[in-house]
Amino acid sequence: MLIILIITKYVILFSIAAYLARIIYVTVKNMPGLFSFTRRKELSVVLWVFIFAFLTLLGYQSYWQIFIDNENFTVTKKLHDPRPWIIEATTLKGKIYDRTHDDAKLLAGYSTPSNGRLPRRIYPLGEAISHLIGYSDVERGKSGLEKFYFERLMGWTDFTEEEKQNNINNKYFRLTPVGNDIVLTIDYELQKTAYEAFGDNKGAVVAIEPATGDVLVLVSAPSFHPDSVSVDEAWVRIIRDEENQRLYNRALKGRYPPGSTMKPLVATAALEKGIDPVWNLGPAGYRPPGVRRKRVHDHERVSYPKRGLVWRGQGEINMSRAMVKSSNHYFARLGVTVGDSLMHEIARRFGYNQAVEWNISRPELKGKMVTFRSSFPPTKNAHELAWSSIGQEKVLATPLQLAMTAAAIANNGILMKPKIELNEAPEVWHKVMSEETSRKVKKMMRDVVWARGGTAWRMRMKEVEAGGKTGTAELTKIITHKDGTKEKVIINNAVFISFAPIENPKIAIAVIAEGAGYGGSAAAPIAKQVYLKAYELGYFDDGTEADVPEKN
Amino acid sequence: MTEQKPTSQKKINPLFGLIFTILITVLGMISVYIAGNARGYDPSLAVLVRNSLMISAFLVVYLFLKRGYKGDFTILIVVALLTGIGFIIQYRISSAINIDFQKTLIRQYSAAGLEESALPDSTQHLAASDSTVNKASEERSLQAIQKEAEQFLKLDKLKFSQVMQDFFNSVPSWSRLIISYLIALYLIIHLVRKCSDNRFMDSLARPFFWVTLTVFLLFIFVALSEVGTRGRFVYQMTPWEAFKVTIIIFLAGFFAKYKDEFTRKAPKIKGKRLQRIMIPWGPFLLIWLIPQLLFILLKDFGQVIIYGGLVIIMVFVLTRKYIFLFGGIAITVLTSRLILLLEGIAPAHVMKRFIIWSNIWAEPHNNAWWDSVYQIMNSFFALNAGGWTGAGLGLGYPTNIPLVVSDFVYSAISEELGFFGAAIIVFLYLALVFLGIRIVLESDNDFERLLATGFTTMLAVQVFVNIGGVIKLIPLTGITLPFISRGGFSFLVSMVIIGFLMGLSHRNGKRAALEA
Repeated sequence: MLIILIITKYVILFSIAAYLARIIYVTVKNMPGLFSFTRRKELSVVLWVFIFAFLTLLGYQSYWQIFIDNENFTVTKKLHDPRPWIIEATTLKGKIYDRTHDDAKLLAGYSTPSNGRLPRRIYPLGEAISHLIGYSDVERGKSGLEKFYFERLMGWTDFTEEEKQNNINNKYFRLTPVGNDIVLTIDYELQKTAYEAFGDNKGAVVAIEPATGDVLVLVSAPSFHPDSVSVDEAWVRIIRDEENQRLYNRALKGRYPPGSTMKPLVATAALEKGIDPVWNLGPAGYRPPGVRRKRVHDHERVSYPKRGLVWRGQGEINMSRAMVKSSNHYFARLGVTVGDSLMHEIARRFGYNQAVEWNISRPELKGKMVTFRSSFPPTKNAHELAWSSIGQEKVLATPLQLAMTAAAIANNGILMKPKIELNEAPEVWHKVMSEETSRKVKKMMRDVVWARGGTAWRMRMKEVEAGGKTGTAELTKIITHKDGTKEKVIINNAVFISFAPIENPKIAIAVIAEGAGYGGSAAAPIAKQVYLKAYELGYFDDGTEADVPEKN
Repeated sequence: MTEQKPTSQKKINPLFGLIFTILITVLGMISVYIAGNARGYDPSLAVLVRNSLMISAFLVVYLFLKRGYKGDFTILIVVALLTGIGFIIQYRISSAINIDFQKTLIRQYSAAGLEESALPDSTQHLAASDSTVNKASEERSLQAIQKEAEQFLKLDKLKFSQVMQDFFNSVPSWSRLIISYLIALYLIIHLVRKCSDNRFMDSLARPFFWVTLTVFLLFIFVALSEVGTRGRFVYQMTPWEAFKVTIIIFLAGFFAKYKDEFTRKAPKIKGKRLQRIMIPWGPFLLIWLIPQLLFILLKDFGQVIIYGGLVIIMVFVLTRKYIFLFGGIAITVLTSRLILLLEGIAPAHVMKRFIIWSNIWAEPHNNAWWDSVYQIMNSFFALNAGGWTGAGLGLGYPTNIPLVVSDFVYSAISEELGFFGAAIIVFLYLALVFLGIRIVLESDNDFERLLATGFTTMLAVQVFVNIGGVIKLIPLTGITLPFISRGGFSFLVSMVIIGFLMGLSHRNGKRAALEA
């Protein structure tokens, strides 16, 4: 249909042009001598003045129409030209599906256009996934995948044969352009469950399928509804809410101290070095050699007196037991024993200190996914290394990084590139550790849940056997009260990384809840709900039924 | 080269030309109709048929004139082509429902967002004051609509007398358009017949009758319209449209009568001091006085260029002295630059346009700046979106430009038919200029020569001022594009000018036939 209109345009243009050429030719022939100043000079001058004036018009117009190269104009056009928005509003933009490719589980679609109304973008999951999917508004611009995949959703890309055909159809045959659909690795149900389980907490939940790197869940809270972006009052309320930072994608851009969830990394480094020391640890805590500063203490040193007990130290303890008890003393010492260089090497293999490489095969999108890098800065002395080993000091990790850590351990020590699009082939990012090491670390993390005194006992489930590691990162925050007085407050970020089942893990989850308390009590139950939902959905079906040890 | 043919043998077949025009117009409008329906506009089939019939009326004019007419029909064909393209583009613009698309879009999205967020399951964070959001936003959009309606009405409210307003409002817009169109076409036939009458031409040549009429008309129009607001009347009718024709006739008669004085061939008479001064300075005074007087009276820079250009060309053709042509052009250019120094004295809206023209990027790019350049910048967006061959009829988005129907119709053409389409329009006008000059060339007395020069120049300068303003070559003025812009009165006057040109062409043809 469109091609007929285009042909009509050219027919009109060329037929008028041809006829006009004939008219001008005949007219010029009918007044000989006038153009060459040989008959009436003054008329020739008038004629040429007009020709000159009219050609000047066309010349100047061609500047604005074709040759313009002015930065001011480009900027103004980008800001104020309504055309891109009209085109976007009249295009049936591609739908965004979850991994089931089910029309009932759309992440983003469009309403059916009716009586003069334009098709409108709808987001069935709303707030639960608004950070990942993003929004698209005339006045406020775009964000998230709406921005990342914009050209593809509009049907302008030529990457695959199908897209090429769609693009040609849009260009020449369709009056209402149609975009390309995208299937994400996100699981609709899990995402919804995770967001609801997260409740009023601040923070993020990230779930990854260890074997493929598929991102199953990417929740960031507090959230916003994509539709409320178009409503002025709601938008103002969102951007004025400085305390909650609703628009900030904590899952990819939030950087938190990992706390005790750093310990599996230290254990990995030690096992890769081939050591598994048994130490006798007293109640005095650990003082790194060479420096006289704050000692590293176990958390029992604070909790025992509260319960009316006397803390006498861990005593003879090996790595597995230290992991179960989450002994800061042991792992700080272990980190210093392993040494700076190996710790950094292992951290690098886990994905620290480098940009996250997403599994994206399209060259034009490579490196465009905004993800902050996790950092494990070089340690100057043993003190810093000791504190870094228990995830304090200057170590910062994104929720995605924590999920990848769990996934790498779960996937026999192989870290897959995280991927967001379902039809990409899985790709290996780093070989983090040997299979032997990974089996040992997995065993330790299983014990954290199942062994006596394990910090993650809340994760025990009949349905599936999970392993994990809790963490509680202490932050000192200075709060300024309204009357001007300042107060130092200690905030506990609850952190939890886990995977399930132990044999052949299917899901690895990281949860961070800002200021929610202890990892075991605040973060683990959220992960548990996601696992239960995943069990319901049959994620753990194909393997052997999890044999649940009846302990306690 | 082939052998030289007698010039009179080359002719355009007018019947073919007019049928070609009708076909092109109908084809274009059907194209707009298809595109509009597919894109959710509201193209009316009735308007399509009406416009087709209206453009066919040119054929009727031809059939009426055909027998006795000795002149050149090419003028009529060119005008019909321009009118046809005008009909296509008017049809295109008027069929789009949403004139200000961006605002509509925002409003629709906001409203839909409210509906969505009013659902219970998605309002966790909006729950606190959801009802107030709803209410406030609805009120706001209601107020916006009311404000828009008020502004729209103000455009129609006019500073015209109540009687005139009531008269215009009582006539339905369709019939008003058709009646003025038919009157315009009838005037062509009438004027062509009249022009072959020598007594009529003699009465035209009497300058003092025309000076009285001119001054009288001018005063009436100035009195009727409030000068302060550059009197825009109902549907873009500017009061001095009619004044254009009278002043051309007056000047032609005046120059023809006092030709000797102007060319300094008249004997110098002792004692008549005024005459002595007027002979060398008269032309300059005319060039300078008429436009500037009008500018002061009407506060409209567009008129300065139009009347300035008119007088300059007429004086030049009369005296054949280059100083009047180039001196006059220099004065006009200088004046436009000097006005920039008059900040505070000149009216604000004129100043604003001059500042935008001199450097559009000069001021900081804030909201105030954007408001002041909104129209011209949207015109540039339209030009830029058009490219070489344009988006296609009905496939562009020119409706976001304010006044796209009248002043900015050229931008709409440039977007939908591209640079080539715009060039075709410019060359059509250039062909009209050629045809006008040809009439000047073939005329045998000064009065007719000056009359044809005046009419041709008037059309050409008007085109130049409109297109130049739209593309910012010259400051923006409120001049319409002849034959293409919507505007009953300006169309009428343009057709009167064409009637005169065809009448003069007919006289030339008749004389040539007698001589042969």
